[in-house]
Amino acid sequence: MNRPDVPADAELDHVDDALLARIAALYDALDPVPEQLAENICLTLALAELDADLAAFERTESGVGVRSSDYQRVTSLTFSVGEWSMLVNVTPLDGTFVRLDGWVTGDGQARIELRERARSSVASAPDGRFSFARVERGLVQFLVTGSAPGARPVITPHVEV
Amino acid sequence: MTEPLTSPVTLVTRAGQAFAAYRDDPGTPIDELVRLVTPILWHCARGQGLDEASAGDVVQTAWMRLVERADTISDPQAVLGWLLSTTRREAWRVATGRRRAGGEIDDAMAAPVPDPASQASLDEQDRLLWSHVRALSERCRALLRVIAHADRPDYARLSETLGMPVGSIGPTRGRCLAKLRAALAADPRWESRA
Repeated sequence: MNRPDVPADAELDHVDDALLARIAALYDALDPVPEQLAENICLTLALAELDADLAAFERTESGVGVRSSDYQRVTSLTFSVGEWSMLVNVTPLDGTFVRLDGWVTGDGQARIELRERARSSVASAPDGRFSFARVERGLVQFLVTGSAPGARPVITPHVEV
Repeated sequence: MTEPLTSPVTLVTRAGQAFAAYRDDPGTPIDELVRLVTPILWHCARGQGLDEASAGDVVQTAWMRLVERADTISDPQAVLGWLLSTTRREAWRVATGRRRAGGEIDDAMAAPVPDPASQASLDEQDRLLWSHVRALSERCRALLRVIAHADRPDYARLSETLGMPVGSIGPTRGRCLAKLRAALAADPRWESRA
Protein backbone atom coordinates (compact mmCIF):
# COMPACT_ATOMS: atom_id res chain seq x y z
CA MET A 1 0.00 0.00 0.00
CA ASN A 2 1.24 3.45 -0.83
CA ARG A 3 1.37 5.20 2.52
CA PRO A 4 1.94 8.94 2.49
CA ASP A 5 5.00 10.11 4.36
CA VAL A 6 4.08 11.73 7.67
CA PRO A 7 7.37 12.33 9.51
CA ALA A 8 7.32 11.82 13.26
CA ASP A 9 10.14 14.32 13.78
CA ALA A 10 8.39 17.25 12.06
CA GLU A 11 6.91 20.10 14.06
CA LEU A 12 3.24 19.84 14.93
CA ASP A 13 1.09 21.62 12.36
CA HIS A 14 -2.50 22.79 12.08
CA VAL A 15 -3.63 19.39 10.79
CA ASP A 16 -2.29 17.79 13.99
CA ASP A 17 -4.10 20.43 16.05
CA ALA A 18 -7.37 19.76 14.28
CA LEU A 19 -6.92 16.00 14.60
CA LEU A 20 -6.19 16.18 18.34
CA ALA A 21 -9.22 18.41 18.88
CA ARG A 22 -11.34 15.86 17.05
CA ILE A 23 -9.90 13.00 19.13
CA ALA A 24 -10.72 14.88 22.34
CA ALA A 25 -14.29 15.45 21.17
CA LEU A 26 -14.59 11.79 20.21
CA TYR A 27 -13.53 10.56 23.65
CA ASP A 28 -15.78 13.12 25.33
CA ALA A 29 -18.71 11.78 23.31
CA LEU A 30 -17.97 8.07 23.68
CA ASP A 31 -16.60 7.91 27.19
CA PRO A 32 -17.58 11.11 28.98
CA VAL A 33 -16.38 11.98 32.45
CA PRO A 34 -19.19 10.95 34.85
CA GLU A 35 -21.21 14.05 35.60
CA GLN A 36 -20.90 13.90 39.38
CA LEU A 37 -17.28 12.76 39.59
CA ALA A 38 -15.66 16.14 40.27
CA GLU A 39 -18.38 17.22 42.73
CA ASN A 40 -18.14 13.94 44.64
CA ILE A 41 -14.39 14.30 44.87
CA CYS A 42 -14.73 17.88 46.17
CA LEU A 43 -17.06 16.61 48.86
CA THR A 44 -14.83 13.69 49.86
CA LEU A 45 -11.79 15.97 50.09
CA ALA A 46 -13.66 18.54 52.17
CA LEU A 47 -14.87 15.87 54.60
CA ALA A 48 -11.38 14.48 55.01
CA GLU A 49 -9.70 17.85 55.32
CA LEU A 50 -12.13 19.31 57.85
CA ASP A 51 -12.65 16.04 59.70
CA ALA A 52 -16.31 16.82 59.20
CA ASP A 53 -19.54 14.84 59.13
CA LEU A 54 -21.61 14.66 55.98
CA ALA A 55 -25.23 15.67 56.42
CA ALA A 56 -28.05 13.71 54.86
CA PHE A 57 -30.28 15.83 52.68
CA GLU A 58 -33.96 16.05 51.85
CA ARG A 59 -35.88 18.52 49.72
CA THR A 60 -39.56 19.39 49.99
CA GLU A 61 -41.43 21.70 47.67
CA SER A 62 -44.36 23.67 49.00
CA GLY A 63 -46.56 26.16 47.24
CA VAL A 64 -47.51 29.25 49.23
CA GLY A 65 -51.23 29.94 49.10
CA VAL A 66 -53.57 29.85 46.16
CA ARG A 67 -51.67 32.46 44.16
CA SER A 68 -48.64 30.24 44.12
CA SER A 69 -46.55 30.66 40.99
CA ASP A 70 -43.06 29.57 40.14
CA TYR A 71 -41.62 32.70 41.73
CA GLN A 72 -43.56 32.21 44.95
CA ARG A 73 -42.83 28.56 45.41
CA VAL A 74 -40.83 27.92 48.58
CA THR A 75 -38.45 25.01 48.74
CA SER A 76 -37.34 23.59 52.08
CA LEU A 77 -34.01 21.89 52.38
CA THR A 78 -33.48 19.70 55.42
CA PHE A 79 -30.04 18.48 56.46
CA SER A 80 -29.36 16.12 59.32
CA VAL A 81 -26.70 14.00 60.94
CA GLY A 82 -27.38 12.27 64.27
CA GLU A 83 -29.09 14.73 66.64
CA TRP A 84 -28.06 17.72 64.56
CA SER A 85 -30.30 19.21 61.93
CA MET A 86 -30.67 22.30 59.82
CA LEU A 87 -33.64 23.59 57.83
CA VAL A 88 -33.20 26.10 55.01
CA ASN A 89 -36.13 27.73 53.25
CA VAL A 90 -35.41 28.93 49.73
CA THR A 91 -37.59 31.85 48.62
CA PRO A 92 -37.21 32.98 45.02
CA LEU A 93 -36.68 36.73 44.59
CA ASP A 94 -36.64 36.70 40.79
CA GLY A 95 -35.29 34.53 38.01
CA THR A 96 -31.71 34.93 39.18
CA PHE A 97 -31.67 35.31 42.96
CA VAL A 98 -33.15 33.58 45.99
CA ARG A 99 -33.29 34.36 49.70
CA LEU A 100 -32.24 31.71 52.22
CA ASP A 101 -33.64 31.54 55.76
CA GLY A 102 -32.31 28.88 58.03
CA TRP A 103 -32.66 27.30 61.45
CA VAL A 104 -29.99 25.14 62.98
CA THR A 105 -29.96 23.07 66.17
CA GLY A 106 -27.35 23.69 68.87
CA ASP A 107 -26.57 26.38 71.40
CA GLY A 108 -26.83 29.32 69.03
CA GLN A 109 -23.13 29.90 68.34
CA ALA A 110 -23.04 28.25 64.94
CA ARG A 111 -21.14 29.73 62.02
CA ILE A 112 -22.72 28.97 58.66
CA GLU A 113 -20.53 29.17 55.60
CA LEU A 114 -22.34 29.27 52.28
CA ARG A 115 -20.15 28.03 49.45
CA GLU A 116 -21.17 29.10 46.00
CA ARG A 117 -19.36 28.12 42.86
CA ALA A 118 -16.81 30.92 42.86
CA ARG A 119 -17.07 32.45 46.34
CA SER A 120 -18.27 31.90 49.84
CA SER A 121 -20.02 33.98 52.49
CA VAL A 122 -20.59 33.53 56.19
CA ALA A 123 -23.53 34.06 58.53
CA SER A 124 -23.72 33.61 62.29
CA ALA A 125 -26.79 32.01 63.80
CA PRO A 126 -27.82 33.75 67.04
CA ASP A 127 -30.77 31.81 68.49
CA GLY A 128 -30.14 29.25 65.79
CA ARG A 129 -31.50 31.49 63.03
CA PHE A 130 -29.58 32.78 60.04
CA SER A 131 -30.23 34.17 56.60
CA PHE A 132 -28.55 35.00 53.31
CA ALA A 133 -30.54 37.82 51.73
CA ARG A 134 -29.52 37.46 48.09
CA VAL A 135 -27.97 34.32 46.66
CA GLU A 136 -27.55 33.52 43.00
CA ARG A 137 -29.40 30.40 41.87
CA GLY A 138 -27.21 27.38 41.32
CA LEU A 139 -25.32 24.76 43.28
CA VAL A 140 -24.41 25.66 46.84
CA GLN A 141 -22.99 23.86 49.82
CA PHE A 142 -23.09 24.63 53.55
CA LEU A 143 -20.31 24.19 56.06
CA VAL A 144 -21.49 24.53 59.65
CA THR A 145 -19.07 24.85 62.54
CA GLY A 146 -19.51 25.46 66.25
CA SER A 147 -23.14 24.46 66.48
CA ALA A 148 -22.34 22.81 69.82
CA PRO A 149 -19.21 22.84 72.00
CA GLY A 150 -16.78 20.22 70.75
CA ALA A 151 -19.03 19.23 67.85
CA ARG A 152 -17.42 18.24 64.57
CA PRO A 153 -18.04 20.47 61.56
CA VAL A 154 -20.89 19.40 59.32
CA ILE A 155 -20.72 19.70 55.57
CA THR A 156 -23.67 19.26 53.23
CA PRO A 157 -23.77 17.89 49.71
CA HIS A 158 -24.02 20.42 46.89
CA VAL A 159 -27.67 21.33 46.49
CA GLU A 160 -29.50 23.35 43.87
CA VAL A 161 -31.17 26.53 45.10
CA MET B 1 6.83 48.50 34.75
CA THR B 2 6.67 44.82 35.35
CA GLU B 3 7.69 42.44 32.62
CA PRO B 4 4.87 41.43 30.33
CA LEU B 5 3.58 37.95 30.93
CA THR B 6 4.68 36.00 27.89
CA SER B 7 3.92 32.41 28.83
CA PRO B 8 0.63 31.24 27.32
CA VAL B 9 -2.34 30.33 29.47
CA THR B 10 -2.67 26.56 29.37
CA LEU B 11 -4.13 23.79 31.49
CA VAL B 12 -0.75 23.50 33.25
CA THR B 13 -0.61 27.21 34.14
CA ARG B 14 -4.26 27.41 35.14
CA ALA B 15 -3.89 24.34 37.35
CA GLY B 16 -0.74 25.90 38.83
CA GLN B 17 -2.61 29.08 39.72
CA ALA B 18 -5.53 27.24 41.28
CA PHE B 19 -3.15 25.05 43.26
CA ALA B 20 -1.13 28.02 44.50
CA ALA B 21 -4.34 29.74 45.63
CA TYR B 22 -5.42 26.62 47.51
CA ARG B 23 -2.02 26.00 49.09
CA ASP B 24 -1.27 29.58 50.09
CA ASP B 25 -4.69 30.48 51.53
CA PRO B 26 -6.15 28.04 54.05
CA GLY B 27 -9.65 29.42 53.35
CA THR B 28 -9.62 28.51 49.66
CA PRO B 29 -11.22 25.14 48.90
CA ILE B 30 -9.52 22.90 46.38
CA ASP B 31 -12.76 22.66 44.37
CA GLU B 32 -11.71 24.88 41.45
CA LEU B 33 -8.61 22.79 40.83
CA VAL B 34 -10.64 19.57 41.11
CA ARG B 35 -13.19 20.73 38.53
CA LEU B 36 -10.47 21.91 36.17
CA VAL B 37 -8.25 18.83 36.22
CA THR B 38 -10.53 15.86 36.98
CA PRO B 39 -11.55 15.40 33.31
CA ILE B 40 -7.98 14.85 32.05
CA LEU B 41 -7.27 12.53 35.00
CA TRP B 42 -10.34 10.51 34.06
CA HIS B 43 -9.07 10.10 30.52
CA CYS B 44 -5.68 9.09 31.90
CA ALA B 45 -7.18 6.42 34.19
CA ARG B 46 -9.51 5.05 31.51
CA GLY B 47 -6.63 4.95 29.05
CA GLN B 48 -4.87 2.54 31.39
CA GLY B 49 -7.63 0.00 30.87
CA LEU B 50 -9.73 0.47 33.99
CA ASP B 51 -13.50 0.11 34.11
CA GLU B 52 -15.51 3.24 34.97
CA ALA B 53 -15.91 2.58 38.69
CA SER B 54 -12.22 1.79 39.20
CA ALA B 55 -11.18 4.80 37.12
CA GLY B 56 -13.30 7.05 39.34
CA ASP B 57 -11.72 5.54 42.47
CA VAL B 58 -8.23 5.96 41.09
CA VAL B 59 -8.83 9.62 40.24
CA GLN B 60 -10.18 10.21 43.75
CA THR B 61 -7.13 8.49 45.26
CA ALA B 62 -4.82 10.79 43.29
CA TRP B 63 -6.63 13.81 44.78
CA MET B 64 -6.40 12.41 48.31
CA ARG B 65 -2.66 11.97 47.85
CA LEU B 66 -2.34 15.55 46.61
CA VAL B 67 -4.10 16.93 49.67
CA GLU B 68 -1.85 14.86 51.95
CA ARG B 69 1.32 15.89 50.17
CA ALA B 70 0.56 19.39 48.89
CA ASP B 71 3.54 20.77 50.84
CA THR B 72 6.00 18.61 48.93
CA ILE B 73 5.19 20.21 45.56
CA SER B 74 7.47 23.25 45.43
CA ASP B 75 6.53 24.48 41.95
CA PRO B 76 2.76 24.95 41.54
CA GLN B 77 3.14 24.51 37.76
CA ALA B 78 4.17 20.92 38.44
CA VAL B 79 0.81 20.01 39.96
CA LEU B 80 -0.85 18.74 36.78
CA GLY B 81 2.11 16.51 35.96
CA TRP B 82 2.17 15.28 39.56
CA LEU B 83 -1.53 14.39 39.44
CA LEU B 84 -1.24 12.70 36.05
CA SER B 85 1.71 10.54 37.03
CA THR B 86 0.05 9.65 40.34
CA THR B 87 -3.15 8.69 38.49
CA ARG B 88 -1.24 6.66 35.94
CA ARG B 89 0.80 4.85 38.57
CA GLU B 90 -2.26 4.12 40.70
CA ALA B 91 -4.25 2.95 37.65
CA TRP B 92 -1.40 0.66 36.69
CA ARG B 93 -1.27 -0.74 40.22
CA VAL B 94 -5.01 -1.46 40.25
CA ALA B 95 -4.99 -2.96 36.75
CA THR B 96 -2.02 -5.19 37.60
CA GLY B 97 -3.76 -6.36 40.76
CA ARG B 98 -6.76 -7.33 38.67
CA ARG B 99 -4.68 -9.27 36.20
CA ARG B 100 -2.95 -11.14 39.02
CA ALA B 101 -6.29 -11.94 40.53
CA GLY B 102 -7.21 -13.57 37.25
CA GLY B 103 -9.52 -10.81 36.07
CA GLU B 104 -9.57 -9.81 32.45
CA ILE B 105 -8.59 -6.32 31.41
CA ASP B 106 -9.67 -6.55 27.85
CA ASP B 107 -8.81 -4.20 25.08
CA ALA B 108 -12.36 -2.95 24.83
CA MET B 109 -12.06 -1.31 28.25
CA ALA B 110 -9.00 0.71 27.28
CA ALA B 111 -10.77 1.80 24.12
CA PRO B 112 -14.40 1.51 25.10
CA VAL B 113 -16.77 0.32 22.45
CA PRO B 114 -19.41 2.95 21.91
CA ASP B 115 -22.90 1.80 22.75
CA PRO B 116 -25.36 1.95 19.86
CA ALA B 117 -26.86 5.21 21.10
CA SER B 118 -23.61 7.15 21.24
CA GLN B 119 -22.34 5.53 18.07
CA ALA B 120 -25.46 6.67 16.29
CA SER B 121 -24.63 10.22 17.35
CA LEU B 122 -21.29 10.06 15.52
CA ASP B 123 -21.02 11.03 11.90
CA GLU B 124 -19.34 8.73 9.43
CA GLN B 125 -16.01 10.56 9.56
CA ASP B 126 -15.88 10.29 13.35
CA ARG B 127 -16.63 6.58 13.14
CA LEU B 128 -13.80 6.25 10.65
CA LEU B 129 -11.43 8.19 12.91
CA TRP B 130 -12.48 5.98 15.82
CA SER B 131 -11.66 2.82 13.90
CA HIS B 132 -8.17 4.13 13.11
CA VAL B 133 -7.61 5.24 16.71
CA ARG B 134 -8.58 1.75 17.87
CA ALA B 135 -6.03 0.24 15.52
CA LEU B 136 -3.18 2.02 17.35
CA SER B 137 -1.28 0.38 20.19
CA GLU B 138 -2.76 0.70 23.67
CA ARG B 139 0.13 2.96 24.71
CA CYS B 140 -0.41 5.30 21.77
CA ARG B 141 -4.15 5.48 22.45
CA ALA B 142 -3.53 6.27 26.12
CA LEU B 143 -1.08 9.03 25.17
CA LEU B 144 -3.26 10.60 22.47
CA ARG B 145 -6.29 10.52 24.71
CA VAL B 146 -4.58 12.57 27.44
CA ILE B 147 -2.63 14.91 25.15
CA ALA B 148 -5.77 15.68 23.15
CA HIS B 149 -7.26 17.13 26.36
CA ALA B 150 -4.25 19.38 27.01
CA ASP B 151 -2.87 22.51 25.32
CA ARG B 152 -0.04 22.46 22.78
CA PRO B 153 2.64 24.24 24.88
CA ASP B 154 2.18 21.52 27.53
CA TYR B 155 2.46 18.49 25.23
CA ALA B 156 6.18 17.80 25.68
CA ARG B 157 6.04 18.11 29.45
CA LEU B 158 2.96 15.88 29.75
CA SER B 159 4.25 13.25 27.27
CA GLU B 160 7.32 12.93 29.45
CA THR B 161 5.16 12.66 32.56
CA LEU B 162 3.24 9.84 30.89
CA GLY B 163 6.47 7.96 30.28
CA MET B 164 6.30 7.96 26.47
CA PRO B 165 9.81 8.76 25.19
CA VAL B 166 9.16 7.04 21.86
CA GLY B 167 5.62 8.00 20.93
CA SER B 168 6.00 11.35 22.68
CA ILE B 169 4.13 14.35 21.25
CA GLY B 170 5.50 17.93 21.24
CA PRO B 171 7.25 19.91 20.00
CA THR B 172 7.41 17.33 17.21
CA ARG B 173 4.55 15.18 16.05
CA GLY B 174 5.85 11.97 17.54
CA ARG B 175 5.31 8.43 16.34
CA CYS B 176 1.78 7.87 17.62
CA LEU B 177 0.29 10.89 15.90
CA ALA B 178 2.39 10.31 12.75
CA LYS B 179 1.10 6.76 12.54
CA LEU B 180 -2.51 7.86 12.90
CA ARG B 181 -2.12 10.60 10.28
CA ALA B 182 -0.50 8.22 7.82
CA ALA B 183 -3.31 5.71 8.29
CA LEU B 184 -5.96 8.37 7.78
CA ALA B 185 -4.21 9.84 4.74
CA ALA B 186 -4.07 6.39 3.17
CA ASP B 187 -7.78 5.82 3.75
CA PRO B 188 -9.77 7.05 0.71
CA ARG B 189 -12.88 7.42 2.88
CA TRP B 190 -11.17 10.03 5.09
CA GLU B 191 -12.12 13.47 3.79
CA SER B 192 -9.88 15.72 5.87
CA ARG B 193 -6.77 14.34 4.23
CA ALA B 194 -3.57 16.31 4.69
